[in-house]
Amino acid sequence: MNDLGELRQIYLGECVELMQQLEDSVATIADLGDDAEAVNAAFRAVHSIKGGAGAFGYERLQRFAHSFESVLGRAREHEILLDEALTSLLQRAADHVADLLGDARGELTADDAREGILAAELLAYLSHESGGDGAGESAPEDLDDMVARLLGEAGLDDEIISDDDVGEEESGEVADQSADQPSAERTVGITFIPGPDLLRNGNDPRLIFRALDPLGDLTIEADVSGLEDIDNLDPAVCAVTWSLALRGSASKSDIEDVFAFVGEDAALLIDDPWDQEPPAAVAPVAPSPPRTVPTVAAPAPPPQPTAATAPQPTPAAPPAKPAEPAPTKATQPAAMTLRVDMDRVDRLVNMVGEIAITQSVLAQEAGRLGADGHEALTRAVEELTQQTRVLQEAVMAIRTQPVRAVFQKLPRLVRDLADKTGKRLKLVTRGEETEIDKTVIERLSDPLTHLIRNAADHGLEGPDERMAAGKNPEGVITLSAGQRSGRILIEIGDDGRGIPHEKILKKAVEKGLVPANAQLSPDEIVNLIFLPGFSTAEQVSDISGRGVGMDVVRQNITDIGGRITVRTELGRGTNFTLALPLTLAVMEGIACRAGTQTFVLPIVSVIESIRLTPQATHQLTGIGDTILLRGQTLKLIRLRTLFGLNGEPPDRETVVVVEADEGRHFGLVVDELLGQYQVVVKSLERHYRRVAGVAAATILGDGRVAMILDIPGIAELERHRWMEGRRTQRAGGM
Amino acid sequence: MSSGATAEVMLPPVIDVTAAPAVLESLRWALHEQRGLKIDGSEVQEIGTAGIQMLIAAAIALEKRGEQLELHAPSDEILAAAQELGLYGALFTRAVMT
Repeated sequence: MNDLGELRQIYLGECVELMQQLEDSVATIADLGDDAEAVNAAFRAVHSIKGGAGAFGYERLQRFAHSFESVLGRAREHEILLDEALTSLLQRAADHVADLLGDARGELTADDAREGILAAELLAYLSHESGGDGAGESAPEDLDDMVARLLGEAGLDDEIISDDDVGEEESGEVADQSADQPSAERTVGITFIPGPDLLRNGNDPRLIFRALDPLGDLTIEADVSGLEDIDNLDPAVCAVTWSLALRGSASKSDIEDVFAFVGEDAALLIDDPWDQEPPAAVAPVAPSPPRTVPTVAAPAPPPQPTAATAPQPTPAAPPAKPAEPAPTKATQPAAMTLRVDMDRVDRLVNMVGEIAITQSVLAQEAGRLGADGHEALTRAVEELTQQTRVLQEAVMAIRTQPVRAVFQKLPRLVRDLADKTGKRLKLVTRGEETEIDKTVIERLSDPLTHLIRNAADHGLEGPDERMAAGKNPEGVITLSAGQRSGRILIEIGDDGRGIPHEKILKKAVEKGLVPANAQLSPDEIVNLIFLPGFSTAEQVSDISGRGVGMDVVRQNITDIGGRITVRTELGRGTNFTLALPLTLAVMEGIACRAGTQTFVLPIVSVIESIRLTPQATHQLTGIGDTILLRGQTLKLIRLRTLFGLNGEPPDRETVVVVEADEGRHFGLVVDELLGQYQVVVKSLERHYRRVAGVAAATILGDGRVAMILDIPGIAELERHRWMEGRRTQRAGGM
Repeated sequence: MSSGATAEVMLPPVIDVTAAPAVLESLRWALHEQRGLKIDGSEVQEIGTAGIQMLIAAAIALEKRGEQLELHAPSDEILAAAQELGLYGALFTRAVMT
């Protein structure tokens, strides 16, 4: 990728964080109303997005962000009232900025019609004479009339403005509509003297001047005296200096924003006749650029520099004026961060995993040698084991990120669902800072989206029905994350109707998923919704309820080593709990043998283990082999039978009692247990293919490859095997 | 020592900070070894400040010894870059376009 492409990617990457800041701030405004810090933070985020958009030619984004920023500016100055209508507009405008950034990344196309409406609504707030009271005479008119009026006033057609329609000359109109400068023009003198690292750090004057161009009439004079000696020319050092004259009404801060990325890689003098005070003092040209624009104290243009030197800065200068104000409550505290390519982190995690396997082999071999005469080796291996564990934890921590990365898309989903369903919906989130491995986060988005769609479509009632039930007309969806006992727990709850048990059971019997005379507990009944092909929706909506939902959700969760359970109360609501591993890279497991194969059972699924005597086993019709454990019948599943394994069975087998999901236990019969290990998880799908009942693979300390079992998958496999067996029997005419 | 012939340098499609040193070496060699310099700019699709300043530096070097740079078929990208950088005059008062 060339320099321009890399710089563009850096900008788009930074916009992800800016969008997060914007969305957090708008969410705070929605919760708390006119919160000065939140409004300020939103303003700064949009301001920064706008600045970069101009530099990279994203004109549509720049135009929209400019209007959005102007409205936030007026709100910040209390010139307009931050009421519910304006708050809703801010949320929708933020959503549209996200769409325009998606457009810039080539991921989707922002909606033209929606943009036209939002732009008109924003302009309506910019047209308000004064703020304070948003009601009465400044109440918004009918939307169609307002759009037509504003587009007419702007001298544009009734057609929606699109990128194709607007050329460079029209983009200057956006600057003219800014509410923060008088309409008179003046000529700003700009002296731009690149430092030695400007080009190397990815800043090209061509892009900068291109971004300045829309701000007014730009005249450029270049001094090429630094190019007189081609033999000593360093191609990576800009040897040209410039004097520019910008005639227009753009504010000085708008002009400074264009140079925001330059930082200390150039000396910049902006001579603005509108300045009331002398410009701020200089910062010297230095190799590493912070996000500020230093200005030179001396008012006269500097002398002509050569390619190898930079102008002498004024000594003992106070710090340069920052482009953005100090961080506020709405932003994260300033922490040292480093952008790292994700591939590099993944390689590091993989290598640490390999080290852990090698350490495990070493520990096993050292154990075989015995302690006598090898004390030093044993001690060294113990230390290595400890150090490897610490290293693994440290490396895993690099790859974790707050679960907010998934949560942040959901408020917009809920707003869209509220529009579609006509219900009043509110999303409350908690625990967004809970850290989770990136590999888990990536797989969470789909299941969470589906659960929230379900809650909106089926779980929550409409406002009338809620009020008739004595509830607040606004339905609440709660999303929380936390860490408990080495697992991440994510809960999605609603305060809606609850799931009616009779309806579930009736539907399951109708679809042949359970026998008509099945005796199931309330928990077992409600877990029937996870069976494939199950849906009780009276009408399939385009939001949810095609019957391909909950089983896929559960599969998504179990694929990442997690479990999903549901609790419901009629009239009160429903709560889904996702229990997820902290990371997909390593896990604690119990190794066991069945036949000639070694398996690993995730320790979070293991309840207990018992030695099995033949007399303890009972065959029950319709269930198969069982044992009685503390008065409860426990179904047995033999791994040998399930996977068709060879080898002589032992005299006494071992039963490991495992939990498939809440309330559903069964006994997994194996030949023997081999011990508890921390294993490195290797994806089977990546190296081979998905295998039913198997979650992943690992390499144990003795070099054996072991399959990590998917406990709910085992239960499902056994159910299919059992049903298939019965069908075969019936077909055989028994 | 000039050989009396005119060197021809074909500019690559992308001239950024990474590609610039190689292009500069070609220009320097041509200037040292040959009498004239013809730069073919027809293939240039992306050029930044690093590239445009090299062209001007080559033109200045030729101007000093009484010659003129021949810029053959400069692409629209070269013309646009020179314009946007305010270097159109600096380049084309010293170079002849063919």
